[in-house]
Amino acid sequence: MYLLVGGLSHKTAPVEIRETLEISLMKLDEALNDLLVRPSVKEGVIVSTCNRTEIYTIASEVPAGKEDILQFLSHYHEWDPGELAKYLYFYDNREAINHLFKVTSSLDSMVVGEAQILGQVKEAYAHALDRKATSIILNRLFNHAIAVGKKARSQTSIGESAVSISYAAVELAKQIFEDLTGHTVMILGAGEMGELTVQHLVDNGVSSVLVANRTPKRAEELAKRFKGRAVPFDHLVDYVAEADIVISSTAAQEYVINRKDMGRVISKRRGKPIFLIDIAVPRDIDPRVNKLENVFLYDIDDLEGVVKTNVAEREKEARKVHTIIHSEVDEFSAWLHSLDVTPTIAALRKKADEIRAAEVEKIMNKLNGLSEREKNLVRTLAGGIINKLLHQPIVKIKESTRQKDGYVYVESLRQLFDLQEVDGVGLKRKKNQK
Amino acid sequence: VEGLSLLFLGLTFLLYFDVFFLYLYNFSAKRESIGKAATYAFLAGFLTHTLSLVFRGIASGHLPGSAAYESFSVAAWFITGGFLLVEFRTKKMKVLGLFTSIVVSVFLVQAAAKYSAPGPPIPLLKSPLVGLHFTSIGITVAALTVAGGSALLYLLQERQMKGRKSKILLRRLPSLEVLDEITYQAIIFGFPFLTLVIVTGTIQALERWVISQDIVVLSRLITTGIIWLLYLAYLALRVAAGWGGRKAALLALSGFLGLILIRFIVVPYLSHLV
Repeated sequence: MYLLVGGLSHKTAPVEIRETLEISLMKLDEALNDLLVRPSVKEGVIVSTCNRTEIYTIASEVPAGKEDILQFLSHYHEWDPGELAKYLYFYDNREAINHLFKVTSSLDSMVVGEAQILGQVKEAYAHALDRKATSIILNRLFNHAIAVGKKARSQTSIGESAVSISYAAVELAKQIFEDLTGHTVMILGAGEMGELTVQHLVDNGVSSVLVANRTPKRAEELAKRFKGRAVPFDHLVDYVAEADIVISSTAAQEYVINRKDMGRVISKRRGKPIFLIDIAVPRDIDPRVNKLENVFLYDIDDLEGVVKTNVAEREKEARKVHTIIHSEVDEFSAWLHSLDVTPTIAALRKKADEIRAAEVEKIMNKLNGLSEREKNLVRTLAGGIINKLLHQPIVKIKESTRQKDGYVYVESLRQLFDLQEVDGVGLKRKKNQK
Repeated sequence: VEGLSLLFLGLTFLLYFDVFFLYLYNFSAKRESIGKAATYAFLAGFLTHTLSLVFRGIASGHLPGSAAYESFSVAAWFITGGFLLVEFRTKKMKVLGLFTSIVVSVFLVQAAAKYSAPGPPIPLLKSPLVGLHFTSIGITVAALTVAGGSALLYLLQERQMKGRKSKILLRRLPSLEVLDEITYQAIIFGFPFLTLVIVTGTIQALERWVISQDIVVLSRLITTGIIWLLYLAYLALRVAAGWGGRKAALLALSGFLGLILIRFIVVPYLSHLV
């Protein structure tokens, strides 16, 4: 029984390739069925997002499992296996655990620390669970991986700071106004970045939107989209005082808001702060207004600077996450190792042998005057009972490993006979921790 | 009983001091549970502190607050209480806790340095007017410490925002709007008590004008009066002229620094002089 993952991600394949290999949620059930009929695949989970398509399996053999994953992906997407293989990576056992933990804690993501992947993995696992495509090992692995992802986010700052311009703007706004609910944003000009930022602000509670645009029609359109109000562009300064946040991205060659305008705005606002985001090039707002009290002006370079600092911050935090993952992988591998049949049989034999030796010793002390031959007979009797009794279960358990879910027997055997020791380490250490 | 009081005070000091390191750790490593633990340890310290004051009161037979030892302890008690009130309401003032815990720890050290055995109150301090005077001082110091601390945080945060630097530590501070509001609310709350301090102080001064200490009393009244005017200006400018943000924070902070200067430097110095 081997844990095996194969697939591709933004690290190994360009987007043209990834998009052809994405498995949509709607088709996931069908894909899982297709995966599970493959001979070496005992359990399976398919994680497919726009940045990765990965197949997690419990396979009877590693080479056969790799072949099955390759065949599955190429068959499913009608690719030539030889061509597809160039983009794939495979990890088995410890490496596979490590990989999944890195994925759920978003170390493997394009933007390190992003929050989406954890939800996507959860969803993929829920689907597989629903389809009964998983059993003990993958269930435990995915639950553990999801917990690791949560731990990484709660114990480090990996996901804390914004790493895109528009989120950085929202975050800065929240450092000025605690709660954006009830605040007003004004957008000057149009443009993707400006609109995206307004959208994020609205998602974060900003309740009213003012729109000013040189083209009144465009202003009306935008106002409609954000359920806001269009204001005349020529008199926009009169309306700036109403706004708590201003996003400016006009194509104007001169300052749209100059220092004098802002001075008037400030006295109108009676000490309330105003946050100006100037993402236009050339700039729309006179940079000197930042010197005015209660005015906070950020231009595109400032925002990029914030993003850059935040990215560096996340990279620093990623090192802490690696440490967390390392110890979690140890813990999980120890458990996985305990499911191996050979050490389990050895442990069972050892336990039986200890019992036999102890019992024989006890009875010998009571039976005085036995001849050496009689003593040997007693020893043989005890050994014979133990061996006969254990013979059948041991044969059966060896057979069971060739079946699907075979390790369920191994796990039960360990439970029934209370076999905790695995090569002296591993599980025992874990028990002590608890 | 006095032994019990001292025992609890020692315990309080240990707790307050630990709280400082807990808050510090909370900011160097991101551990929310540590921050919470720190706040609860602070609360535990506040309770042992309360017990200490209660036992001191039983031992001396009157409300604590007369001797220097007692007044330092009482002032620290009010500050801690004020901070806890704000923290439990906002849950985001743990940075201020760093500042508060070290201030109250220093206060307790000061108290210990000026320790005096419990005794009957100075005859003068028996009057209810004087009791009111000292209680008001405690509440005022607490409210204005909260206001000053939050104004200080405002200025730090504002500098950070203007300087276009986003430091992770300061991102865990409350927003400018909240800090500004806390400062304002704390001053609104503290100002009537500050007024009461002056009124009761003046009445006392008039009663014993003939006694030799007039210069001390007079200078205290004048300096406190200036502080009072500062806070009056804060409130007036805020309400009438719409002052908020940086200028208001500077005013609140200077008021607080002035208060500390009077209570712990001017007053003791003048008392020694005479």
